[in-house]
Amino acid sequence: MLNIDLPLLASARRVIARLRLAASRWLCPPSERERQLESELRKFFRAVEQSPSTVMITDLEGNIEYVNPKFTELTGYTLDEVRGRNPRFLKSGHTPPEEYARMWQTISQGGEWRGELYNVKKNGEHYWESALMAPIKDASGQITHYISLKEDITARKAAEDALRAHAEGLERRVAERTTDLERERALLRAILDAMGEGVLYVEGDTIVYGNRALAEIMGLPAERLTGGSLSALYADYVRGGPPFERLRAELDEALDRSPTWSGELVMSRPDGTQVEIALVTAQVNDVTGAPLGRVSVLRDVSRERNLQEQRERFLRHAAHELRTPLSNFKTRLYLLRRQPERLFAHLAVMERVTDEINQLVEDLLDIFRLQRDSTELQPEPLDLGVVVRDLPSLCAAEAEEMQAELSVIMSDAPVFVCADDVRLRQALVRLVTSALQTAGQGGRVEVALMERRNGDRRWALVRVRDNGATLSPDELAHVFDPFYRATEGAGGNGASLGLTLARQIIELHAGQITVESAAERGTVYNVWLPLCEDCPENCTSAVLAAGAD
Amino acid sequence: MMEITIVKNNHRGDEVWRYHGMVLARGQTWVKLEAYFDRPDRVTPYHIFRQGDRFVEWFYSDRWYSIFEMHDVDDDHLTGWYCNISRPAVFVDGKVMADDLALDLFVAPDGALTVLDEDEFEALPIDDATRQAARAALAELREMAARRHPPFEAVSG
Repeated sequence: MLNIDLPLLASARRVIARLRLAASRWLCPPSERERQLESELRKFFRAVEQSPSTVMITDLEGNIEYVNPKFTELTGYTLDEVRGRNPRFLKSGHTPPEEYARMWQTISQGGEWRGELYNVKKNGEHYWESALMAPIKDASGQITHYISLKEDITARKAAEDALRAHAEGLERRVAERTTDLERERALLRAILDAMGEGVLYVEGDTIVYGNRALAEIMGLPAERLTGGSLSALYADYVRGGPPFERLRAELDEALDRSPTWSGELVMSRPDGTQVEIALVTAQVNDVTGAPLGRVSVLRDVSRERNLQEQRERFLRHAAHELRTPLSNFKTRLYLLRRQPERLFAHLAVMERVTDEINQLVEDLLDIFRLQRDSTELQPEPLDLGVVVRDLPSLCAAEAEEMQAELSVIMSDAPVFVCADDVRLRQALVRLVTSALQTAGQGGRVEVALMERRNGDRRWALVRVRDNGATLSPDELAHVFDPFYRATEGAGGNGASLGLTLARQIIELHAGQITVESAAERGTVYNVWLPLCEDCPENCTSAVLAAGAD
Repeated sequence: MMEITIVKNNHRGDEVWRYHGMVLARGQTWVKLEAYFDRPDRVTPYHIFRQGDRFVEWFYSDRWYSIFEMHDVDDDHLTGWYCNISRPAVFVDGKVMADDLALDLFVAPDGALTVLDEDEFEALPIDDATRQAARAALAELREMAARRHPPFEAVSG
């Protein structure tokens, strides 16, 4: 408890008056003790009067008996204006009544109350003050008054508020920035995961990030990448490349000179397949320019390379195929000049050569046309039996030339497909011609038409079987490649683009062509075509209607 | 007559040239065809090849050589035989293909023999068995020419 024995003005005056009364009563001048006491009282009084804190003394009912000049300076109220009044006129309504009740309860029980009050000045202006309230007790310990010492903390509160507002603003901005960063991160991840190229970010030897495409290219789960060791990954999966340390040194040197490094690697996936990868690597620095890590963009170029090789092979083979008859043609022209007496013999060869060139050019055009656009087809309900039945006559010349036997086994019932009559005939003729050439001189080719269920669908199946040389698995894998037979084959047909065209046409009819070969059974081509009832236009009704007519 | 394409490969099996011919006759292991020399005239110490010269060629699937009987472009007279030492020919797809082993033999109409490109043959990176088979083929051709065995019946010397 604060037991203030402060000689405040009124009390002091009363004390002095009493002393003077005592002095006069006892008819003796003030003693030294009394003079000291009065001096002390005056000193305390001056201290209170000059205090930088407001001082208020109330009676037990709370009525103001004294306020110091600082109070007047702060609130605008003079002592005369407030004397005898309850300090509640200072209330702004901000402090809850419970707090006042607690305050009064505390000090009336002899305790101290400390707190902050938001009050109002005479001019209506609000202010904050830090208050200490306590009882004043007499010599016997009885509470005679209450004193409050208050300090104007408005500026401090404003500073605190400003600081709090600033802190809140900062927190809000941090939260917003965090949200922005999370959104950007999610966006970046979505973009990286949607990329077709693999992205790899490495710090030191640690893989910090690998996107989905990278995992797919490498045939590894994404978890296997992140957090892993780059050198270990390199050792495990890169084939035929330089040692990792040499590559790293090469990279260091290259990235010192230019912002990016480009290279190619061959990687072996865990399933054993190989993939050719083109990669571009760049240095990543922090804001100060210090090296942070390296980012690489990896692209699977295997398919591209393969297509490029196929394209080049196709052109090379096409050039070969065209050069041969052209050379022959040129020779015959030369001979024609030298041997005019053999005019007809040479002309006959030139005519055949011209036909051959024409056929080759037509085949090439067909391949390009069909590759580009299937609208070439004019599908209609077609009885496949009619087409198959025509095959012996359509292929009679080739069969005769090869002195081969060509037989046809028909289905009992009509087999309708939705197909382009001309193109389908072209495909089957090329297929049978190939089979005749594979069968060789005196060989045998058998064509059978049937209906078969494959999966949950019914299909028309044209089976072309020859008794020629057996094809190896490698040959079977390439038998439909353009010009494959023409230059690389070891058995099979002589139509260098025939099987390629046949497959293209069948596939454009939503069909499929497969090939198998075995020593006892020869080579069998199976042409699967969807039955009319399964075609999108469902033209069975049209077929039936046509039949009814 | 049936057309045929002749594909000449190098010792590795890579195609180096191809040309057309007409099949004159064929058996199980051989084909006889007619073709014309379709390149510009070529003068060599042993023979002059003229554009348009008619070649009657024999290819065998069981022998390590092929034989070209050469006839002059103007009057079709016999100008000699050019024998290519090669791996046995493969007949497929209306084609005859043979891997050339560099070594050649020219047989003049009078029976004079000229072995050609021996140095090139020796330098070929081929296995011993292939080299031996090639040498045996050359010896066989020499013997055939000397004995006027077909198709060397017309040797006059």
